[in-house]
Amino acid sequence: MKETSEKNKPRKIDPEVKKLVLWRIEASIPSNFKLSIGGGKALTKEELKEHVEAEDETGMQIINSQLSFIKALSSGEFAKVLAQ
Amino acid sequence: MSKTILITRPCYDDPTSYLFCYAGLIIKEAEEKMFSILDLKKPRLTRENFTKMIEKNNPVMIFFNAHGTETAIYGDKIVEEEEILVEENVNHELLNSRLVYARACWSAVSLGNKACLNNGCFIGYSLPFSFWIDERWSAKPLNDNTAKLFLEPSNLIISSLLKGNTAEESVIKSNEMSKKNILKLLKEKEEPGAVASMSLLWSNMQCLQISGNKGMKAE
Amino acid sequence: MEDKKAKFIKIFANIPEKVRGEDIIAVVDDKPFTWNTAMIEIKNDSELGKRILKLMEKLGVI
Repeated sequence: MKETSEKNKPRKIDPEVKKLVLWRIEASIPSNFKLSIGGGKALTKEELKEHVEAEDETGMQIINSQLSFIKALSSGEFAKVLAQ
Repeated sequence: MSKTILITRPCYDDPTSYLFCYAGLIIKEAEEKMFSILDLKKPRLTRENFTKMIEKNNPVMIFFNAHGTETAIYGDKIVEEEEILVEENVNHELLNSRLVYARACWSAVSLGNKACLNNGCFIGYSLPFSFWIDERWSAKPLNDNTAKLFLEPSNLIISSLLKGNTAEESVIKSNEMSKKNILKLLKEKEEPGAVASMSLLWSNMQCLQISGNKGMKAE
Repeated sequence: MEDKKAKFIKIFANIPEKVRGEDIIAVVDDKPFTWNTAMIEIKNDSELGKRILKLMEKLGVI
């Protein structure tokens, strides 16, 4: 795995946050979608969940991406940018 | 004398095959606008050739389609291993003074800042440039309407530069198109994966960055 | 708790309608809650609503 940012280095994630991310993946991603998220092959829905379960570097990228979107929604930034 | 663009187009997995096809659209556009194209793809996509082409042809613009890290951008997979084309503190000066768009993950974090010296410009991403692929269309990337949501705004950066706009104007146009795609997804009644796509479009918009001379043009 | 409820309601107002109905924002007792269904529990001051608000706090939403 290529070296990336500090914030994606594996660290312990709150189990409730992890559960939320897993549910979000399960509910929002169609089974025919694959994700291209950096080095390596595109990831299926099941592979995304495996990475999140493992809390490895790719898993952390996915978790951080999900949390960033939730923050953008809840801070109002998402709505503000769309309205501009 | 016509202006030269160097484009890297590896193609060894789904993500790079998509980038390969979308960059192909740019090649057509650039040729129509009388740009000279150095299309680096297998088997010529090697670090040695990349370096030689830059030194010999002095391209005004370099368009990477690749995997990347904070300090490096990759080229092709050679004997099962991805080869680094350009790396910070190794050969990043190859990019100095030029207009660079790196459709590669992470490279704006660090490499971009070093690469834009001598009044150059580096457009790249501070997080992974991400997109969804609809598996049903993976053999025909240009027909994949899901991937199009992400790759069209990205292609627009180069299209806009080819039309003579500045780096900053081109990034703004790209983000406007991403925004338009989000708004379209919000309106669609039955669009599977709409929220997942919105989330990724948002991420790509937020992490798209310019380092260096924002007023730079492809001339 | 009233303060957190008020914050959530304010945040909810800025969430696009389609996102409200589809985006899962909390999981309690293995049950997923979208922004809409979370709002119902929170507005009704239910036990579930209180637990959802605690999770919102953990996520940094409120």
